[in-house]
Amino acid sequence: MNGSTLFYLVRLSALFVLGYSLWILSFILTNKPIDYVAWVSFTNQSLFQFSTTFAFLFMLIHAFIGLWTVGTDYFTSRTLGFISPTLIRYADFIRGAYTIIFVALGFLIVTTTLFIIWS
Amino acid sequence: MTISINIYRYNPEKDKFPYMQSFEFEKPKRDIMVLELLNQLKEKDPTISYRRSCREGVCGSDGMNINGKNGLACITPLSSVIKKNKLDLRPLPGLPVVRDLVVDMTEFYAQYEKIKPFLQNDTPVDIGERLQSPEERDKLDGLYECILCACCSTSCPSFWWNPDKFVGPAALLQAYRFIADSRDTKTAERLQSLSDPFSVYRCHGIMNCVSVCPKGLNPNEAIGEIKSMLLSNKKNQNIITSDKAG
Repeated sequence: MNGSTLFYLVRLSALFVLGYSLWILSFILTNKPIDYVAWVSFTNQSLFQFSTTFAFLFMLIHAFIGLWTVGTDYFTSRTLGFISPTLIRYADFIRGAYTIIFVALGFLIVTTTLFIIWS
Repeated sequence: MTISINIYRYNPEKDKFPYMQSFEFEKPKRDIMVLELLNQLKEKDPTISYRRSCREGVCGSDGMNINGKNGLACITPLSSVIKKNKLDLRPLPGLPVVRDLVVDMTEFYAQYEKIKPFLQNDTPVDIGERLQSPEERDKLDGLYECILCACCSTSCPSFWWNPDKFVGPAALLQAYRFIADSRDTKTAERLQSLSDPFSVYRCHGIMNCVSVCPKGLNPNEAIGEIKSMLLSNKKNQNIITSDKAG
């Protein structure tokens, strides 16, 4: 993928998540004390459901780009070779396993969130 | 008064691992450069290896890590780096060590070659040379002075981790030197060659390059300019190219 696209995706997703977080925070601060009814009516509105869906999808994209960057910095044959020459031959496997784990974890979190929001 | 000098030693022909060798050195009455200190140590131990040539900060040969910070030994006064009467000298970090303080610069030069560090202009020359206005020439100040000592690139963690993919601050400074040159007409192609996720975008702006540059240059600013040009739309890039051609 193009470097500029990743650059924009990281920043746009961060801005959306920031806006979403501020929106939730403003609801909590301006509705004291929050009772069960107020909370349910807030979370049942379509705006909340759609914005939460987008916020978690953007978080997934943001986390993927960040963790992919970390993986291609630190889990390479060169970098792992600094720790031990034995790790050089396992670098691709370690990076692949690391990528699968964080992608699976990200999808699990997002799927669970969407299930809670929309069910 | 004596000072303790610790020098990184490694001879691949006989050493299994590198080690630090200590030397006791009589503190000179007048301030001397680190290179002069090395020259005097080499008289005691001729096996100490390091590069040097012009001894006045022009050739960029004697880049090394001096008490934890990269710099040129020939223009670094001993008094400015010595701490508690101790001085550690190591090779530039991140590059393979050939011997002692001498590093293999192949990866560094490969990145420099990648950015095509020469003027590209296919248009015919009218009057024997390509002219520039004083304002256009001013844009090259702070860019062309780089001596390729590699102090900046080898102080950059992104270059340590991906020296084969991340171009590095020294070569990026030179890339921008030709992008900013009004006589060069290959701006779009130059930017295109840097548009992948590694070449420029692995710079996260930690500015180690700026703090170590012995010539006082600012590669981070040049990288920022390249990023801005890459992020602006294609239309702007075309305008830049046609401006230069015109």
